[in-house]
Amino acid sequence: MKIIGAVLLFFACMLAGITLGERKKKSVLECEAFLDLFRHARAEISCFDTPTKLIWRGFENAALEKNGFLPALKMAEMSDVYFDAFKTALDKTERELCVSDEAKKVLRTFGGAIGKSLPEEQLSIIDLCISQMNDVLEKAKNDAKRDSKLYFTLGLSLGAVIFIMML
Amino acid sequence: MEDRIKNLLPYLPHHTSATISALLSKNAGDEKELTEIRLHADRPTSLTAAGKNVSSFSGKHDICTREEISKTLAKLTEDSVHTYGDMMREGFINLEGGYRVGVCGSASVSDGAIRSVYGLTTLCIRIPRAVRNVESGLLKVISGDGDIKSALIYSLPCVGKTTLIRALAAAMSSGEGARRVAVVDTRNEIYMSEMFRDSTADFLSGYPRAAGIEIATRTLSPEVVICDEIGGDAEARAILSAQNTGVPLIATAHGKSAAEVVRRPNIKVLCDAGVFRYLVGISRDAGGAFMLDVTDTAEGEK
Repeated sequence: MKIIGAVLLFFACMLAGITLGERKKKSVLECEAFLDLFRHARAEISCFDTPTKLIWRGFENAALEKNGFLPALKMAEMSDVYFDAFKTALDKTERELCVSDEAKKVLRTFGGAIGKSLPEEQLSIIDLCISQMNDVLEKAKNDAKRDSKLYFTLGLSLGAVIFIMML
Repeated sequence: MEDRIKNLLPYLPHHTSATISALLSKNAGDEKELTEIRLHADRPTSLTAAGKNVSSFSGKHDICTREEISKTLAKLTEDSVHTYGDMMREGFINLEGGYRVGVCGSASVSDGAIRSVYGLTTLCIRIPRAVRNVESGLLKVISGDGDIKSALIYSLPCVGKTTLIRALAAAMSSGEGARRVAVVDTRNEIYMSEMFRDSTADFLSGYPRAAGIEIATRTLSPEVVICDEIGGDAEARAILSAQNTGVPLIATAHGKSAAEVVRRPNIKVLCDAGVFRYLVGISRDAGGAFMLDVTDTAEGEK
């Protein structure tokens, strides 16, 4: 019984380490996805002055589908008054997102600007958001590289220590 | 409450919606007369009903903040202000359902042209009205001997030029004896689905007036062209060119009197060229009915 418990705890710790590492990788994927979304919005506005709800309709991304952000964004079309859809989707899915607080701040800036002003002003803000998100992405990539190994090692070590102590 | 007002309320700041709802429920007759809602940043909101401006509601003012003005515009455009960029630079936006929103703020100018509008201070929401059976007097004037004659309809702003030509376009293009009517609806103000359900009129929506008149004349073989608010140089040239094809034009212009209207250079060119047979001034009597002041340029005043 003791051995089974120790083995279970060992695997639980290792799994926790792997999950934390995966979350970091997911954060990178989400940052890349939001960056794609920003670029898509920029192109739609600068080339076609596309209405905001149509901008979202024309965008697909597996990472943002999976965490529920894109469905929430597209669902906003159903509301009586279409307003602040990006921010609303962000509020609804914030817990599901793996991105850092810094990235969320950029997302809020973008959400607060999209559709609210004439193209020139909006494009300036989107450019700023793209640049900030690029920085966040770089940081997320470095963190993921470093931290996923660290979390795995920590999980493994902790599991091993608990395993030995229980025996 | 009428749909055209009820549909608008969710887009306004909550306190403004509540004020308007309370006012209209107290004075039920006013909603038929309500034509404009003006939101001012940090100053009182005002309503225009039956030509009167009201900004004090039961002794209180309704005041919007700058942020509320920006939010209202964003809501009205479905969070797509950028889509209305060109219109915004001209000082207005047109929305589905025939609503027109005048937009004022600070302008950023480059090479004499407005590049951007920021710091919005006023939104003037004009509520469309589907008014029928007001065109009979005008129709009688312009089609006296069976043929339609060109006419320029003038009045001060907000008297009802657009209402009148909308009713005229609907009447001329519906029912038995419907004519081929081409409407150059540059500001998307003339078309209203409820007015043109049975109509055969062709609408050139959003076309610049000059291009619209030329395209209508060239491709739609209209019996009459209707156009709102002329006055530009290019428009005058297009109208002169179209008139050589013999297609009558019904157009509108701002002005207090016929003399004042024909003093405007581009309209003077048209009048001198004999484009308009009639100059029709419109005003309203105490009951709101249209009164026409007709000048027959061929015979003098009637």
